[in-house]
Amino acid sequence: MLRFSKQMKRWFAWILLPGIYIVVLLLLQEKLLSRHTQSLLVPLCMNIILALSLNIVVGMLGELSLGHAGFMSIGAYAGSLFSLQTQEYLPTLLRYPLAILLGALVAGFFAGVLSVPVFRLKGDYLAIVTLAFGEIVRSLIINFAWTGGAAGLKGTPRDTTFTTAYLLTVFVWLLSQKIYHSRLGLEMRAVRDNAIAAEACGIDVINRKRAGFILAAAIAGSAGVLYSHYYTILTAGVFDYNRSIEILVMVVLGGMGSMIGSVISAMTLTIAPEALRFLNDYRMLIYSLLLITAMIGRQSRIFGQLQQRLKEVKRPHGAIE
Amino acid sequence: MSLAASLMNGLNLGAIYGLIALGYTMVYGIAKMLNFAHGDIIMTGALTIVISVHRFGVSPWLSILLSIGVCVSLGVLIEKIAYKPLRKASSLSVLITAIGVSFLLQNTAQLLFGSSLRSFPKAFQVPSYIIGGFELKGDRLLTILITAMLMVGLVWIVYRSKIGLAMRAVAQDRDTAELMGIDANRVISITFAIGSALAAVAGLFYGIAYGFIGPYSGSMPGIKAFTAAVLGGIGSVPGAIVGGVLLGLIESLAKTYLSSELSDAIVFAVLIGILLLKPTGLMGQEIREKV
Amino acid sequence: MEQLNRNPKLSTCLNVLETKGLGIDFGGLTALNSLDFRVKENEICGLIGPNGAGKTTLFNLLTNIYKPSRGSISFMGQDTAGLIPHQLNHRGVARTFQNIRLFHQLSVLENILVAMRPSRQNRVKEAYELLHFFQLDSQSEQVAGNLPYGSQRKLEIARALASNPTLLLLDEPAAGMNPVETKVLSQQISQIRDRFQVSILLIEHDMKLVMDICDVIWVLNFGQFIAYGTPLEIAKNQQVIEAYLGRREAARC
Repeated sequence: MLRFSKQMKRWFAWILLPGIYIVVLLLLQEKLLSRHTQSLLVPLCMNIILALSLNIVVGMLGELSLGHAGFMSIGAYAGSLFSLQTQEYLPTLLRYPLAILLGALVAGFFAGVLSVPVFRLKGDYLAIVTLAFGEIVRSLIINFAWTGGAAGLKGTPRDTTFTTAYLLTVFVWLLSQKIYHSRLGLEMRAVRDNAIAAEACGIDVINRKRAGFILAAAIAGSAGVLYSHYYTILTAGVFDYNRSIEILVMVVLGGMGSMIGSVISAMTLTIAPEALRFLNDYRMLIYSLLLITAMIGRQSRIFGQLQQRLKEVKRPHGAIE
Repeated sequence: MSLAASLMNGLNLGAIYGLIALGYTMVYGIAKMLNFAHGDIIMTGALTIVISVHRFGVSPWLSILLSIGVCVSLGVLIEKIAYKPLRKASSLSVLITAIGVSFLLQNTAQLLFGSSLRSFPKAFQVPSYIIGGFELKGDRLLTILITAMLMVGLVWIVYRSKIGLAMRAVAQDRDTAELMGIDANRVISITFAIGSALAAVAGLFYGIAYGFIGPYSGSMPGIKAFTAAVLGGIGSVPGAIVGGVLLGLIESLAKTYLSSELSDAIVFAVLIGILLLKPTGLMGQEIREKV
Repeated sequence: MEQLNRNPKLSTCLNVLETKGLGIDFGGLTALNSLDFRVKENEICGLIGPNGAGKTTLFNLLTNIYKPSRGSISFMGQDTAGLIPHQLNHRGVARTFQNIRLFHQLSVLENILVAMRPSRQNRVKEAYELLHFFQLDSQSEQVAGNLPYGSQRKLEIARALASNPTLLLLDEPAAGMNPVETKVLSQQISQIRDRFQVSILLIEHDMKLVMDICDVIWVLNFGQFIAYGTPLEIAKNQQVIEAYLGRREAARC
């Protein structure tokens, strides 16, 4: 059976990650990439970041969060407002990373506030609460003047390039890996598998759930800043329920908990809709069917056995510290 | 808006939320799952009325029956196809499937009938009465009355009938109930059927109250009704009614005296508030997980 | 295995666990009445009784999963009221579950490691030693959910021990095991008590196991203790026999 040894993983990180970047840059320079493909580069990075972040909550922690777009939105607005206020006296090199950081912190903060009541409960409340949260964020943004109201927030400096997006993506990937292999990641996965047993083993379940949730939200917030500094116009409508579902589909199809799976499905689900433009009207419908069949499929024994085989292949070696 | 009108409005909303919340709470208590698609079944019911009356010229009364039929069939079908296979699955899987179903309903409706809002048939408008100076809107009165009757009927079913006993037994301990000879599958299907029927009625009253229906109209009422169910104590039938009425009043008063745009946010704040203060809700009991 | 980080040996007069008037009601039903109960240091204590007597409920109370309706529980002389289960585990109470509750997607090794305090040194080494005691070390990389049933049960016990407890609660550890496995298990439980210096409280239906290894047995029926004593005493106790076999059968003994 194939095993991804620690050496192989290092090889991947040190060679492949910068390698991809160089390849893409070369392609761009030689004008070998179509306009169309070029326009996909940054959205691709964003979707990968979003999928990886939701994977922390859904895949590692086993909790359903439906308001992920809401956190992206909060981050986007926080970052944009910051940039708009400070673009006159802060150099881009300083301002942009600060905006990203701010977006992450603000999103994380709101997640923190939300996590106080929600995780105290037994039951499936997180899903509805995050759903309501996403909707409320959207309606509040439309109604507030300083977020531009219904017309949106204009004028954000266009700082996001493929380079910056890629850097952030790599950072998030490495961060996710670190989390997965850390004590926090181990405890989160234990909580996912059996929260009651985890509690009995001395794991502070509520605390771990909050931690995962806040981290994921913060990462989503940073993706939001990427977004707002790329498209420069922000409207509340972009970060809607559909978006949250899209990200969920990516995580589910990638195999919940698998980071590389999230990346691959994020890539697929960014490129496929473009390639299959004629199906655009049916896109959401297809996603909903994918979700349902994926879940029912997981239950069926054949699929389960297949998954076991795949798991044995993919299991990281020496997975804990 | 005067206080009286605001309260009336609140009761109207409360009636609708209560009907929807009943569906949520019963399914949660008996099938142990949050049926995310419930709000969209309401939308389906209301849309059925709109389409059948406007496009096919069906009489309003018949359209109501049709709507109930469609909703019940849909509810039972969804349970059989999407939820039943996942009885043993993790609650996360069930939730995701429910999301999928909800999304499916929304997008199917959108594909079939377009995403714009359609106006609700005027045939359901009931005249208003002027009593002692203020206007008693007829449709509100009707909604409240019929809803009250339905709720009484439902409480009677749950607490006095044989099937209600079976429902309560399955809610408390499915395995033991089955050992006692209760067909849990049938009970669950019936629960979904009742909940969906109530949803159809809620859809009717929602359409009358708001005048418009679109494919995504079910989402907000669904969330709010869920809040109502949690407020009253999820799993508790009287709780859903109390929670619904309370929430309707809160929303209406907030709309009148605080801010119309922020009324949704306020409802959400209520949800967070209850979860913080009394997560089991006003009338709920602690659900002990089997350890 | 080197001596785990522990408090110096305590006097044998100390009750590791003690309850006074402990009881719980579920709605109108009194599941446990008013229990005065104790587990002594380094004792293997058996908890038996017909199904529905309230044994697992007692466990859930002792691990603070349920809140009692009345009475108190003290562990190592300190009241446990208000502690969240994971805090209680930090104090030194560990348990296994009637229905196996392993972290089924984690590996065998990870199941052990996650239960160990992160601050401990040489965690991996100690984890392997613990697994070795249960003959599970060769399967350390296996996904826990794939283990055969008997191994899963052993892993649960190992995991409970990993948190370095003073009191180990075992809920039907021999359930589903054949006589050979049960014999091995009962030897292991005695060894656990000696080697890890823990007190053990176990719920079991397998009478042979209970009689073999328990120092003392408490018999629960309808939410109340009807007897307690050494295995020999319990075997002869009329009320116990009645509770298990019914009056008429008992009259024949």
